[in-house]
Amino acid sequence: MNPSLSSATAAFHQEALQTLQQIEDWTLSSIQNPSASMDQQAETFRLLHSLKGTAASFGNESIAQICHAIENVLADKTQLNTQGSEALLMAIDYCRHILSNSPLSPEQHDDQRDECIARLNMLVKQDLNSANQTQLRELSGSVWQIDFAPHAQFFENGHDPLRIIRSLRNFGPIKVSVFTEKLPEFADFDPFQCYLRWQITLKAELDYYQLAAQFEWVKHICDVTIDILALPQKKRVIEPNRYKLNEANLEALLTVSQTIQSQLQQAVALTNQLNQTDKIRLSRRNQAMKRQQQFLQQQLLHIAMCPLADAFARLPRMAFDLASKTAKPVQLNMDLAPIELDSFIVNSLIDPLTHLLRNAMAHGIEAAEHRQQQGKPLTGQIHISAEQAEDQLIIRFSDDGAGLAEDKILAKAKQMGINIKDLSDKPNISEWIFRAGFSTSQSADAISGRGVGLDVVKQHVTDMGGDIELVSNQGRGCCFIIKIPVLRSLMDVQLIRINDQTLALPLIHLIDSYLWDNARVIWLNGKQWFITDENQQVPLIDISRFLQLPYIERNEQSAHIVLVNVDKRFFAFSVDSLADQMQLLIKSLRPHYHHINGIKGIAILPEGDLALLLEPSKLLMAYEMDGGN
Amino acid sequence: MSSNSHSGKEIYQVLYLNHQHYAVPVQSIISVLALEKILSLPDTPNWLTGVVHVRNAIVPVVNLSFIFEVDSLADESRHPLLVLLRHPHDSQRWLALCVTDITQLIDTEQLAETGLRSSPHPCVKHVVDIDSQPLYLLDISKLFEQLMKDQG
Repeated sequence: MNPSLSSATAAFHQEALQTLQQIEDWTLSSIQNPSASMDQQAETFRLLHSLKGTAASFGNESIAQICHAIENVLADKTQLNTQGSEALLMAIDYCRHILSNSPLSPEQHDDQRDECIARLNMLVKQDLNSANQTQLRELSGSVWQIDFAPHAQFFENGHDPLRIIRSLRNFGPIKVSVFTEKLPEFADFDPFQCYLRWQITLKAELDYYQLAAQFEWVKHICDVTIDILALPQKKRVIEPNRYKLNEANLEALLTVSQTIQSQLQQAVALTNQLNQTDKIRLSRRNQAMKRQQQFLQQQLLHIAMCPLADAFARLPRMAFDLASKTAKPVQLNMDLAPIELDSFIVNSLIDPLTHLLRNAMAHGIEAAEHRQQQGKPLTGQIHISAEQAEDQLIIRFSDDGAGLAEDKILAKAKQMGINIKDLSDKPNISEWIFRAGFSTSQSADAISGRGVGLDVVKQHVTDMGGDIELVSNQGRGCCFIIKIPVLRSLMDVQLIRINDQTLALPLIHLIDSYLWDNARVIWLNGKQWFITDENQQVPLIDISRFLQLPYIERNEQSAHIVLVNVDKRFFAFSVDSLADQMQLLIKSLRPHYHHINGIKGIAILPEGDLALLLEPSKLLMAYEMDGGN
Repeated sequence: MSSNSHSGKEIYQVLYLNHQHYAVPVQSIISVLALEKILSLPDTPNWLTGVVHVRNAIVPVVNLSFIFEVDSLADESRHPLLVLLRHPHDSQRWLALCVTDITQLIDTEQLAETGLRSSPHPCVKHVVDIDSQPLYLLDISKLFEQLMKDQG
């Protein structure tokens, strides 16, 4: 029996980490004891070659490329210098990061990989006699130091040092120091000889060659040294994360931060008992501490959360590659909510989404000629949407392919000894395909293997506390619906005030807002108020009634009407005032309390106060169920 | 489940709210805090005062006076403390009780001497009279059950 993909992947990860450890040990020993390490070089070479092959077969091209680059280094060298060891260790760390599912975006991964490979390739090309210069030629810099020392005869052919220095100024700001130590006494001074040398600091992002080209015509009559003082921002070496910060540490820090916030709030009340001078002094300290606490909170959230879109970032490229490999033209459409979720969730989604895309391309989307025969557009369509509804992340992954082959699935179920009570029991059919080892494919293919991935997808989703279901329509396509509980997220919101209470409205639903007294027509039909917006009749809902907010007399000067969109259906409600728009941390009422209809979650305001986060779709539904009253 | 099973003795913390005395096992208490700003929730029973943000969690605040149908004082300053409790069998689930004061610690041996009575209220394990005043020994599991009972 084939091992499941998850166990095979886990075994690969374990073996790869062991191999990397062995290579690291060899690298470190080659610094300590070069002669002893030479004996082990052949074994290291073999390990590398083996890792390269295994990584490639598991689709891990980045590790395979790194291994290849290290092989090239070791093929040319029997002994590593410090620079070589650093490059190897950096590459090993990068591979470990990949294997440990580090929370880096695909772009960051690519940048790091390219950086590692560039450093390794540099070693291969390195000329021992001009090591530093070769290194520079491979690199770009953002701050340069140029030591320019013309020979005495520099002026003889009409060369002008100032012209060269001015040409450098065209790249960016320069700082020039002139050195006059060779300037002779006046009596010995020869105006046709050059006695000066210059040191120029240039701030400009450019390649070594661009800079060296400025000295091309004079290089035989001067000494030029070009050093990089700073790498360009995007190419700056990203230090691998060597700090230990797991989920529990992060939670503990967030708890500390929130507790500080809470205690600071309580301290404000105590200041009222002080005399005026002390009160002012303490208030200032308190404000300063609050700012620090908010900064701490932001930094921690920056570590803990990442954009939901990161989980989907590699899919367009993957769809493109798979379409080329399978010769099945496909269009990938993605509609992703602009929210940030726990990095754990975002990273855990990458694998199942990759599986689903491979599965859709291998088994769902038909070949172009098949689609043509069935009257379908030649280009297959894959739609992915992800949104937060109530306290769940809901991902819909659908394709317009062949759907489930029910007859094959039933046959396979019988073969596996599954008790089939009702052959037309469609929900069971959808569930069976999530079982380990359940595949109707006759043979493995390069894209999705034997289709063993769906049990892995389900396992990933279950690990996140979520659930997955499949709706299939044979010949029309299928849709996977993944639901994952979301205990916290970051969301852009519009803060509003109603009846002396602050509420948060997801910004994505806000269409417009106008002052209450803007001469806008508001009219009554039966018991329901309406407004007219661009010739549309839009219901004006009393959400304070829905939210059971105590009535407080409104200040008409600041009152606004807010126009809201829920899936292209509009409604409006009045608010006492509009406050800021900001990104806030949203928390679920679970696990301590159950979900409340119409409330998406609890928004944590910057000062630490709480606000209800409205769920416009449920407000509209409640209004409609109430008969529009 | 005993909160002090090795000695067979269960220690309770007595809480005072609205002229009534309640007792909770000390092992259920996470901490006692000054009252936070409570956010009221719509469509919830009256005994659920709202939620607070404590220890990085959104925690429901329960007013026992409403559960036991004792006339409650609306003024929050009359019960300025929050007793944060954890579920006896699920340390990830919390609730907070708003109380006026926390008084003494008592153990089950002391209570047994006084004489335990049963109570018809599901959230109360036993009732015991101390200084002619009834003391309600709360069943924390049942209190959490009550909280999840009204699923919308």
